[in-house]
Amino acid sequence: MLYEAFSTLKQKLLDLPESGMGYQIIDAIPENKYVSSRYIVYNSELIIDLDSQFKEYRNQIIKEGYSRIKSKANLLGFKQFSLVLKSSVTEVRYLSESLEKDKGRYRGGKGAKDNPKEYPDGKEIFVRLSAYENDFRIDFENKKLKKGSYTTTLADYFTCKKYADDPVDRYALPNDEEIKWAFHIQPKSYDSLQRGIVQPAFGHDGGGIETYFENGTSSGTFIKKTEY
Amino acid sequence: MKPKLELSKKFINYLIDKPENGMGYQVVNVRLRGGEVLLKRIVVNSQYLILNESEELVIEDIEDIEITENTTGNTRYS
Repeated sequence: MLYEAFSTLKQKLLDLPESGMGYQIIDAIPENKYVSSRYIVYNSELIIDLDSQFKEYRNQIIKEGYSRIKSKANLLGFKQFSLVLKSSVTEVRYLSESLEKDKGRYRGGKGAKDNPKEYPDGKEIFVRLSAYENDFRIDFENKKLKKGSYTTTLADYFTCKKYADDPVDRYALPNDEEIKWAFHIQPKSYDSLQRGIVQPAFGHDGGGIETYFENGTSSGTFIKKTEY
Repeated sequence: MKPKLELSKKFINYLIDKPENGMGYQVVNVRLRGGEVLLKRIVVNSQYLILNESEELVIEDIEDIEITENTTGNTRYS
């Protein structure tokens, strides 16, 4: 839907920075609702639902004209709203050839969860990269990876280091915190996993290898922690 | 770096037992005490809720957190 912001809301939006030239992206709870939605706001006054129909609304503005659309739009106010960084909204991205060649990344493919389960040979090592020394997905007491956790392969970790690649972009991580730790896991041959290519997300290109352990790993498989 | 809010032990313990959506993060819905729900938010290390810019949220505002599976928390807009 398309809406016009109440004048008080317009003023608040004008006091906030833009997400891009002429627009802001916000998460907001409308005054008559309880659930947040994402919106794009043009010129701090014309609000559009940022949902699957966004393209249609945008075309409607192009076809009918900004002023006409605004004149017939219902007024909307929010109980609360917050600005969303543009990098938090995924766009359709394609890994450039240079990243593939210069950083040893992979193009296309599927994410780990979209690939069938496989079993490691008991020798292969996987690495979980983290900004946190007390990574909660590592069971330090039983020396294993907890169920439902992701890692990359040791080979891809080495490739990332070798090419001085940015792990936040390679593994499409949502926060830009510095990766400081590497937790090394050597799963048993009966610890199933799924292997895939990190898909673009959070404004990052991905293209590294990701491995998902639905059931975690067996006790004693967490072998060491190193600095990244 | 994006602002973040450390969750209480209760929510950390809940999230530790739930699957990740990618290396080091989970996507959750957050129910606030006033009844509002914030959809598809990111928690890193099962511990920190990532906040939007200018978002003022404190731990006392959070009533409940629920995991959202099979999503990266992002929608593609073209």
